[in-house]
Amino acid sequence: MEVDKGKGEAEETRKVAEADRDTVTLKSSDGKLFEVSKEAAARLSTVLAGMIAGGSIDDNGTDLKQIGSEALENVVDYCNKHANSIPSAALISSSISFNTAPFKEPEEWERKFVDRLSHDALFDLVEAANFLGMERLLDVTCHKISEMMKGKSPDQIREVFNIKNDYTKEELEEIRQELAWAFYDD
Amino acid sequence: MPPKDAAALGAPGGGGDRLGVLPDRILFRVMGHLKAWEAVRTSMLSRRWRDLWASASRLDIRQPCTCGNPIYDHDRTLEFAKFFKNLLLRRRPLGLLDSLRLCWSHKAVDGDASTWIAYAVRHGAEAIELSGEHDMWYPSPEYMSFIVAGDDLAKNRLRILKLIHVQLDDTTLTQLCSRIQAPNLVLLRCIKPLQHFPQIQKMEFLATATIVLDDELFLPDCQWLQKEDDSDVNSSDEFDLESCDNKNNESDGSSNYYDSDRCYEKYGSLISTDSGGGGMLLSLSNVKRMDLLAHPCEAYKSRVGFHPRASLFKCTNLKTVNITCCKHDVMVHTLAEFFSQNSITNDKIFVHRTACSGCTGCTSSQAKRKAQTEAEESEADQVQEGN
Repeated sequence: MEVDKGKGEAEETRKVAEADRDTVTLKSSDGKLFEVSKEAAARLSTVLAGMIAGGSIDDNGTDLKQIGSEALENVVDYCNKHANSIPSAALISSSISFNTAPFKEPEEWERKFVDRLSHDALFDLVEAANFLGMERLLDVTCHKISEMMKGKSPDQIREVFNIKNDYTKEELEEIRQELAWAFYDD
Repeated sequence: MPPKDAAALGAPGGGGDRLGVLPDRILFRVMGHLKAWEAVRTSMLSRRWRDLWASASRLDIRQPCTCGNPIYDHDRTLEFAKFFKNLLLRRRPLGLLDSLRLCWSHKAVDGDASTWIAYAVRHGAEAIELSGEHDMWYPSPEYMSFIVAGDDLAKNRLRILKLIHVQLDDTTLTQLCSRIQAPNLVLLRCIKPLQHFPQIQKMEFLATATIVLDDELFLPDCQWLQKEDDSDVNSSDEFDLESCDNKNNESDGSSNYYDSDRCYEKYGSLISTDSGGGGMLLSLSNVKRMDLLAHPCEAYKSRVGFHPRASLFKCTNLKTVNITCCKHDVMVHTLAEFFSQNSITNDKIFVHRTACSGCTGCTSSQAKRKAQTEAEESEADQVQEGN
């Protein structure tokens, strides 16, 4: 019994130590801490991969001063979900070992992941993904933005994204004529 | 309100233009998900957007050509042809193009598939997809289009090539590979090529190849050079062959992923005739994992022409073979024999039986099917025991 118990404890300690090594702690601009799978972070973010490889990861929380807690929570959530979505995620990363695999449509869970975000949260996430060099997440978020543009007139797109029309009427007409070849009805 | 459009509801509290403040490279990425004509039209939005489209690094110009179609629309076709020509002319001359998705088999002096592919390769494309899937004609790109002229060979950055329902002449891929025109190719996808099947050789970095063959689309005299006799070709099956090649110089065991047990998630195909799969195998000398998948509707047809024979298939690096097929498929026996003849032992073979998905012939002869099934099960068990 005694021996068995000892074994169990040793097992526990080993697990904890392993868990420690398997995650990285990130700190948002407003000081909140988040745990993320080290493997997923290194695989999905070129910046975090560099920091992990270069040993500049702080056990007490690596400072990411440019990223707010809401955006960082989404980033971490995305990484952890990606880590769990094996084998398909593993397939992507192993068979196509580069980050920018074009033509790769977002997977169902990735769509859902960005669909639930508010307008501001979506753009916060784009900026965070850009800052952290997360090509795949950039692709997923940019795909979402493009979906918001599809099938809309310029006026409608401006409204969705709060784009100020800074053309004069004459300029707009000029562009329309110049690009007449792109303005057939489809 | 559906959460689906949470972001589309727009009008955030601050009311700023959060899209316009993003760097160009991110806007290019957004545009890369739009169809090319939608991307061009963004120039109407504001000055920020005026010339962005002309430098976009990903182009999606998938527009099925209606030529030969019952609903052929002459005006529309002309308009698209004009669009493609203009797009080509007005893009920024030195702008890099990372990826091109093309679905346009229309024959035109300017702006046909070959023109676009040549343009993309010259502009440093890493990925090209050409599809004739929705067209009546099979686009037939000239292999020369894939070649960067003169001394610029090293500039060929092509890493991903997808050819879907494309007419291949016997030189397209052979030339492409053997003349080191695409030395960096890591992913090749060739779906139902017309007339000729691709021969994979001298693609050192190729990591994934997906080939779907439909025997009915091949020329009758389409033969592999290495092929000798064995000409009893009478199957007309459709197969996928998915294989993972690894670098030549990679030592055993360096690719742990391929050894793991979850490999079977991917699918691949079966090998069929002299003209198709048998020959295809010859070119896969460095494959480490092979997934074979039988087309469910074809699974019960007799498949011969695939002769287990030693020395046909040299694949010393092969570690895993995954076979997915209908539970009534008898081809698995032939395959097992084939692999064992070629020193691939049963412990490397994983068989995944799917439920019978309405194969033709399954209902025609109950007795025969039963006998067949029993025979299969015993063999399948044997094969799996090795795992």
